[in-house]
Amino acid sequence: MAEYILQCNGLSKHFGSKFALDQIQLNIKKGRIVGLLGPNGSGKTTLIKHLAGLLTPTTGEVLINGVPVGVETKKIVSYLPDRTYLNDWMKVNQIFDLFADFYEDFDRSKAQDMLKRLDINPETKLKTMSKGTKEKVQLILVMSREASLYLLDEPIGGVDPAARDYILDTVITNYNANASIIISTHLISDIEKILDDILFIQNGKLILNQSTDVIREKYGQSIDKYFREEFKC
Amino acid sequence: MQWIFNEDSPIYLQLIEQIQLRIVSGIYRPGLKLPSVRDLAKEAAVNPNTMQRALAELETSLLIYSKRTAGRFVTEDLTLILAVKKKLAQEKLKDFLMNMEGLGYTTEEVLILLKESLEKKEE
Amino acid sequence: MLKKLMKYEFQATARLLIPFYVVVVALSVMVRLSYHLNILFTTNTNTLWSNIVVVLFGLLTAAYVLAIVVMFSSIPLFSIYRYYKNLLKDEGYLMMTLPVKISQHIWSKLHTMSVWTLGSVMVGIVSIFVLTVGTPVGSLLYEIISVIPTELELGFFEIIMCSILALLTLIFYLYLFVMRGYACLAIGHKFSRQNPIFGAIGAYLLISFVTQVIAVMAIFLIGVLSINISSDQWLLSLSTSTLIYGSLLINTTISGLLFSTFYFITKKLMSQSLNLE
Repeated sequence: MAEYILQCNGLSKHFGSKFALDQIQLNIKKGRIVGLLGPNGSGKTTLIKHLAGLLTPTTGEVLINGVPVGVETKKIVSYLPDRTYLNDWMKVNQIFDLFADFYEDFDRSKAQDMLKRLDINPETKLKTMSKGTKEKVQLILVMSREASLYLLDEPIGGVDPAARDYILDTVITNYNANASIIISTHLISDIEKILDDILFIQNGKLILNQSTDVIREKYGQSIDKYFREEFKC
Repeated sequence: MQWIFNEDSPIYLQLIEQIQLRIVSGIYRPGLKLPSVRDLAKEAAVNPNTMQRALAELETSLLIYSKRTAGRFVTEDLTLILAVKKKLAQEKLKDFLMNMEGLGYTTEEVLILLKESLEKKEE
Repeated sequence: MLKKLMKYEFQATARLLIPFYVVVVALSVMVRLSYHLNILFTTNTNTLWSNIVVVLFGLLTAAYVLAIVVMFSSIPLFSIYRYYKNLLKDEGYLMMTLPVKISQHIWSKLHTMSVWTLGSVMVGIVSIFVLTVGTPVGSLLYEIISVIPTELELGFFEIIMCSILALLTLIFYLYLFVMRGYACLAIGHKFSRQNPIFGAIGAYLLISFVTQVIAVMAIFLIGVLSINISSDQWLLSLSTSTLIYGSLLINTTISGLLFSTFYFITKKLMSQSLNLE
């Protein structure tokens, strides 16, 4: 077992002449809930896609549990993108079947529990669901896996307060000391209290990598306020 | 009782205060078995690591003790609880007196105001 | 993993293709029925009805032919479309983060397509059977079929082998066609972010042009070589079977090379230049 669940060494990504990520250097240990913060377009989603295996670096490397990103890391990474990836024709039960087939760490009874508590019928077809319900199903799928690294890309943006509380609640409930969670958002104040560490990205560069306690102690103010003042965002 | 957080100080410090409050006011009775770290964190909507840190510090101060696998319990040492209660009260009094001084009241005036307020409360 | 991917590919595609099979068989039954109606009414010279029945027969036959053509031609095209929708659009966020190699994604879609193709061949045979059994055309057809083996001096075993070979060849060329489509989609996805479909079409035109040029050059080369080798009668001196086997061999080799090229292009682009949005 590697010391760090995630390591980025000099990770850079160009799209043409544009630097989407610029020499990202970071290490994350197990058991941390990490906030990936930054203004829109700063590179948060690009970074997360690298960890999920959807993008390959131009230079540098990404190691998950000491292993370069690939088929093996996809087995232990659970990724929630910022859009619906579910196809139309399946029922909830069928997408559960798919997850159970491809992911050994999928806990179906946990998923069914969460579904029941949200009053969603597993025989419902995905295409008949509202956007909000589909997002909840995706969250259930991601959090029902016993993964080592969870990647949540903007899970609370554009979501009503009750749903947001449900999401944060789910994250806390599913916390385990052997896994780490990376939550990206541009809405800092909503999730500050559940974060251990903060990564702040701006223009593709990692500007800050610090624990929330240290930031509050050092600056005597909430993360949200600190960022607004420091980075005018 | 609600979990209330302000923006100024680290969450774990605020958690320590709030749990102390619950203990001294009797919401968490002496000897009570506390919920698990995860459940408490969920209730307070905070990171379990942060809650863990707060509880660890409270253990050091002996307000809470843990019994191996049985979980964490509020102390049954009533003397200690009263001592903590008094200390918290003294802090609040200090703040109160500072505020009153800020308003321009003398000590005698403060005493009179206090007596009036307490009598009104009795009614 | 490959089997699981194929299972999902089947589930996703069956919803569209099974109804097609049903439609083809149903239409063949209807054509057959209207054929009999035709016989019935035209022998009774009831002019209005006989006209209606003749028109009906014509329409149904046209519909049946259309259905058969669509059924066969849509399968490779549908496979290319599936690749685009399932891997390069929003579903790609799920598919490309599964712990599965890109090669497995490619093969699962290709093999699923070949199964559907075999299915359509069988459905086609069944529908022809429905249309022709017990009719004069049918009897003629069966006569011809039963005579072929003896005329060409082919045994039962050889007929089976030939049919299998024919099917395999069909599937091989379908794989080539579809793999080229996948490669075009991958190229369009990488080089034409705004409009991947146009990029894919552009890639297709470019590839067609290049393969044509190479083919012409190869023929020219053979012509030049044959003149230079020895007597100009070289090509004509080859026996028919040598020519047939020879050109088959060359064709297969070239197709195989093309397939590998498309396969590796697709694989490389999908692993390294994937950029879903």
